[in-house]
Amino acid sequence: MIKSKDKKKNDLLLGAVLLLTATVLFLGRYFFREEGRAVQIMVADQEFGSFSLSEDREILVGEGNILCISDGAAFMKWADCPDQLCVHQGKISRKGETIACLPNRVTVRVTGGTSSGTDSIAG
Amino acid sequence: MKEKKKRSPAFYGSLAALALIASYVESLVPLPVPVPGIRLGLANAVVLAALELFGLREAFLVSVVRIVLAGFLFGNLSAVFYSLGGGLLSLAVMALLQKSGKFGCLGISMAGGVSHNLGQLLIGSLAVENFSLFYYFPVLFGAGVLTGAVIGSLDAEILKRIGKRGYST
Repeated sequence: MIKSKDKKKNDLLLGAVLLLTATVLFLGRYFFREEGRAVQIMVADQEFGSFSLSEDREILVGEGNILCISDGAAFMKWADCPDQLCVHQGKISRKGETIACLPNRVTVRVTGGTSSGTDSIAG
Repeated sequence: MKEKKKRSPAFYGSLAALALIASYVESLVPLPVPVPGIRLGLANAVVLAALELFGLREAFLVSVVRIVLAGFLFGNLSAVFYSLGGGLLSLAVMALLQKSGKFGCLGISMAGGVSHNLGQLLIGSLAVENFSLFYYFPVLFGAGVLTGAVIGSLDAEILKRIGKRGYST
């Protein structure tokens, strides 16, 4: 049986390792962050579309969500679910930032690319 | 030294009720953070105490019953799945660490907090069928360590007081 003093030491060691990992993850994201140029909207694993952040507009995603793009940032304006977590999540504009509406399986992610509006016309 | 005791349904009922009250209290005071899914995990204090005092079977039952009841009372069906993902992964991790005998409440609870958030993130990613949610991994990881530390310290105090009295392990 290990003494409680050693357990305490192991606890602190584990805590230090976990905190260090969290710090490294944070710093990594902080230093590599960049402003995004578009948002990609996914419904489950299907792409709903990509929209430029530089163009103000409102997008109806399926029947349960309205995404609003204004001043270079995107936010969920309306959702039909009871928890409203995605609406409360606020604005996103940096690459990788994500708003998720889990009940409707909708994710909105900021990307560095341009909108697919032109792509779909070109394709 | 430990022998499997037969425990009455009332015993499990009391434990589950305790955890359920913890969930309820917590649902009244949401943490003011912009990232969804971050909670103190007060109910985990009961689960961890059950694990330390009684064993894995007891902790498992408390956790599952608590999640299903709390899900239907204060949440919805999808909330049950996220909670189960987090709850079961964290219980598995906590049970392993506890069984190793090398860690106290604090360490077990911190690892439990992190794995709980990881479990929820995994279920969430399954639901939306992509990995974009992992953007929030650093926040959830850090939050797991901190909330785990709070709950672990709380449990250390609880066990210090009731651990040797009547419930000796």
